[in-house]
Amino acid sequence: MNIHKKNLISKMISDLKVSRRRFLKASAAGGALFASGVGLKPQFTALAATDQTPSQEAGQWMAGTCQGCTSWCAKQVYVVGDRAVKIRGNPHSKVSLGASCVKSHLALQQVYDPDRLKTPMKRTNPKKGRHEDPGFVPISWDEALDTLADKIMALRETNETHKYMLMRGRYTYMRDILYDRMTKIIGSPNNISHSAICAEAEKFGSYYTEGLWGYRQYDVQNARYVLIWGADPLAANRQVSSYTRIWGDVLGRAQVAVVEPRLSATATKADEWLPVKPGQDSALALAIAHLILTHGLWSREFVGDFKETTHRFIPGQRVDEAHFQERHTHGVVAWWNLEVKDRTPEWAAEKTGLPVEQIKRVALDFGHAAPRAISWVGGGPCMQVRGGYSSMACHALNGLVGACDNEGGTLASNKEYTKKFPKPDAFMDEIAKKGKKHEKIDQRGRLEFPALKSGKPGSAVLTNNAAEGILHEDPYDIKVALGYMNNFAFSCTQPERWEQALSKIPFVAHLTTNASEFSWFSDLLLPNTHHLFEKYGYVKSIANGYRHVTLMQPIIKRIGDYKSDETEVPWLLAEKLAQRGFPNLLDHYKTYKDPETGKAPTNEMEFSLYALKYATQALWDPSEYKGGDRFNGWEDFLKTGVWNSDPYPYRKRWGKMKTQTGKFEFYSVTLKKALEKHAKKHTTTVDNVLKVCHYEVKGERAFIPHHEDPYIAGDKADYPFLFVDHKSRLNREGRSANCTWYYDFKDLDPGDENWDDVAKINPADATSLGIKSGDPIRITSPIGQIECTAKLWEGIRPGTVAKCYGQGHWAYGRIAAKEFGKTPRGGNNNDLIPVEYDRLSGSTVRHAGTRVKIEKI
Amino acid sequence: MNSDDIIHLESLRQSIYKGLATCFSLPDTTLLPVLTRLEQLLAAFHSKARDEASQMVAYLKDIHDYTPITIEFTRLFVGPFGQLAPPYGSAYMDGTKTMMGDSTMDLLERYQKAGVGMAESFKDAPDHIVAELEFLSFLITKELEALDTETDKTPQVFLLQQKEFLTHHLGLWLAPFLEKIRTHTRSPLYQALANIVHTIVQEEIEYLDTMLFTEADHPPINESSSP
Repeated sequence: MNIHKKNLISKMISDLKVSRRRFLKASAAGGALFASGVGLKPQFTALAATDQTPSQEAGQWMAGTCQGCTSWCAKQVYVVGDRAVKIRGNPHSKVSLGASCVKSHLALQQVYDPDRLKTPMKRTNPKKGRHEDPGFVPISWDEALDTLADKIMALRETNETHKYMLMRGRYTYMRDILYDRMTKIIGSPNNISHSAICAEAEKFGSYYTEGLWGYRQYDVQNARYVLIWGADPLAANRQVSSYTRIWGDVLGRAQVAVVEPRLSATATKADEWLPVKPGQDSALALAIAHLILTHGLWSREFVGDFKETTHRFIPGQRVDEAHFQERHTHGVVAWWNLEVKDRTPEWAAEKTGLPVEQIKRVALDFGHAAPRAISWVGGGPCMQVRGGYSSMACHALNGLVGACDNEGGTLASNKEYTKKFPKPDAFMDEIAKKGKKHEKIDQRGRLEFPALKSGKPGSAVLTNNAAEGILHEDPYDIKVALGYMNNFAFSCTQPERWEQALSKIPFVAHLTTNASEFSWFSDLLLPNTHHLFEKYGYVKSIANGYRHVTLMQPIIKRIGDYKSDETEVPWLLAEKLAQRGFPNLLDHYKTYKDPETGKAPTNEMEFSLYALKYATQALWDPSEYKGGDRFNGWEDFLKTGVWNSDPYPYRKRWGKMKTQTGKFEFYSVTLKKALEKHAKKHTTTVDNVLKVCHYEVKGERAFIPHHEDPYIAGDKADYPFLFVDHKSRLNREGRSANCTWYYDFKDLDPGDENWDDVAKINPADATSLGIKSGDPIRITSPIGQIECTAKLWEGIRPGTVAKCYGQGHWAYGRIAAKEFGKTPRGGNNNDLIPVEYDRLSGSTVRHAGTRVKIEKI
Repeated sequence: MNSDDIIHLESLRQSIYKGLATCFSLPDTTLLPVLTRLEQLLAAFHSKARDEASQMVAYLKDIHDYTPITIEFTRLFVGPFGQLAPPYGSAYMDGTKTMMGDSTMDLLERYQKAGVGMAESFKDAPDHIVAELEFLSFLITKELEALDTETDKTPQVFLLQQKEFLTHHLGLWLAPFLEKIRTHTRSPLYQALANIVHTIVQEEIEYLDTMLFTEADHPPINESSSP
């Protein structure tokens, strides 16, 4: 022993001797104890030896994608060590333009949310209900997936695979692995997406005019007039990041008008705010059409013209169709004769509550800007009981001024070259084939639910109606359900129905980042990855005349036992099913081979990576190049993180639209065919179909954009105010409710207050009720009530009350809920809005859906 | 007293921390033997916490169904609908309501400087109580290695690291954490565990103060004596 060491140990002994006799005893006892082998083995569970030293290096920017809303912006994340510390727009994206809205930064609080579900858990309390503590306890992934696999196998053994149900919330384009392929190979028709609580009705208008069932892009940088209906592009409606960057230029070049009962973020920056009466958007749109036609402002290039210059559109007078030569449109004269000729600005002023002069000014300015005049249709006018035709009316203006598919107008999607995953058919056995043939649990396609997606009756999802199917076992009972990144027990209107429906299903698994209201009624909780930081995936998005395909990749170390919803979990479940004698799903997944090596995946991480490379191969493999950005291989693509399409080919769709006539249809032959097909299926008339769908229209007007007064729940005498729901620029879809920054910056939403959930009431109305700002109030609709705080605000139309969607959670986290698992923070708008649908598109009603009364508490 | 005595003493401490870390893991039938050993270790250490450990052992011996304990553990430390006693340093130290904040970065740096990182199989945060208790056990392991006469390492360096970690990190959040357990638990098991940890850490700080009782007595810490 060297002297130095001897001295050190001697000093330790000496220190002990002089201080504490107890330690002397302890050392002796310890010797005896360890001699008998009683010590605990120093094997660590949390720690492991490492050669790594604290890094002095700066971090690096890594590519990812934000899914805080449906903009799906390309991002870069600054990663230091294993930690994400900041976020910026990916400068390589021609869609996101390197910009970042405020929402994306909340992802940092989401990924490091201490309330995240970190381990699989199982329910120990078999009773389900709002007041039944589920008694969740942690289990391993092995046990969790064993349990789920056993449940699925039990359905296969009894030929009841149709009683398996998959519920999808936020997704990436890896979705088909879980949503489609897995559901089909198991043998169920019940893959139910959230799309109908999101946006389907606004797709209805573009489909039944120009054959486009999808979101449009708006060529705002080339526009001279932007007329926005119930959308808030600076806050919550697609490409918020890039619009935030370029909106100053847009305002410099174009007039902007916003139609919405409340002063939205976009309206605060607009030239015109048109605080329309809820549900009367189509009246305004038709009056604008009327003025465009009577003032001769329509696009001759797109719509055509009278054969004789002496003919004109004169208010109230019919036009002979033979006098008009249409070019790329169909039925403009029929539309005029059946509807538009009588829709004067004076008539519209009475319906909408807007001044005649403003209607005229907006219509004529819009018309004079043609064809660089955009009619931008958001969810506001469409997610209404009679929203399908409003959607068509607002969108038809794009046809009238020739903005459709034109420079400075409204555009479809650019071509992209991702590949669909391998087909599942060869892996579907007889049980699966039979199971898939059953009617879907959401009852789409029944007489009262035409759900006419893309012209096919019964093809659109009725998300919220699946609860009815489950509750009433109609068409059958659901026995096993898996939900991912969804929270229907909060996000659907009348969410208590979902509480009951989920309680009724014998086995529910929930794949989620946070224990939500949906989780409360589940039997199994599976911790999910965060989209921006922890998983492989890709999404597609459009704006500025481009389309991008932007990647997600694992860029930080997972600090919980998370697994990716759309790739890792289905692979691991497939392994479990194979162990139980049903290898079809695993065999199918093994066909997703690495395009570079041809190697089949052997585990869930390889599967995730290979599936992504497979789907995007034509974007990064030089030998498969088809267009857009070029890359030198996978690593080059992964590092850049985003592929951009070729520029938009303006006017290429003119005359070749996917409608029955190939033209932009003001008289929708496409809708006529779809409705007649649905009526024939139910051996009834189109008039009757529309009647059971709560529409008033009869005859030929059913095939044109027309006006109907809104169908709103509640009597005006009992419920004097119309309820206006809107979205936050911090939380369009959800998932921010447990972030403190959401509340710290809530006043970014015009009229809202930090750390509060306010209902915005016009001061004139509030005065008559004796209510002042800060008063606690109760809002009651015919189906429910919530409590929140009053805010007097001039930015809301008198006779209406507006409240931002997003608060009112009683679960989701310690910030989201006032008392986690028990008491909500604020009020959930969905507790006020009755379950209704625009039954033609399947869309849930969120706007112009109910009247309410307000009481000071 | 000789060097073997010191090794035995420090081995006791090392095992006690390891035993405590196990107590903050999901309880199952392996908990009873661990607690039984912990009781013996505390007895050997003449710790005031011994009696409470005996009570825990007695309590567990009567338990045949671990489900209620598992539910209680989950309610306190896992959630998913809120943890009544969050077992993470960041819940008490940063005030930001996010994980992987400054205190966790400080912690990771301490881990790495000591030659240890997070195990791949551990699916939780670096500032989880299990990791921090294991880290103390790890530091004592390093101290025991340094007591080997064939090395040039200085055992006091690791004693100092233990002291610093207890006073500047774990010790800063342990008290409110234990208080939350005491306030919210319905189980005598976790009530006792909170008391045991409280007592042991107090004794530990006292012990380390003894070993490093004056600044002047600290051995020189330089490059050559670092791990």
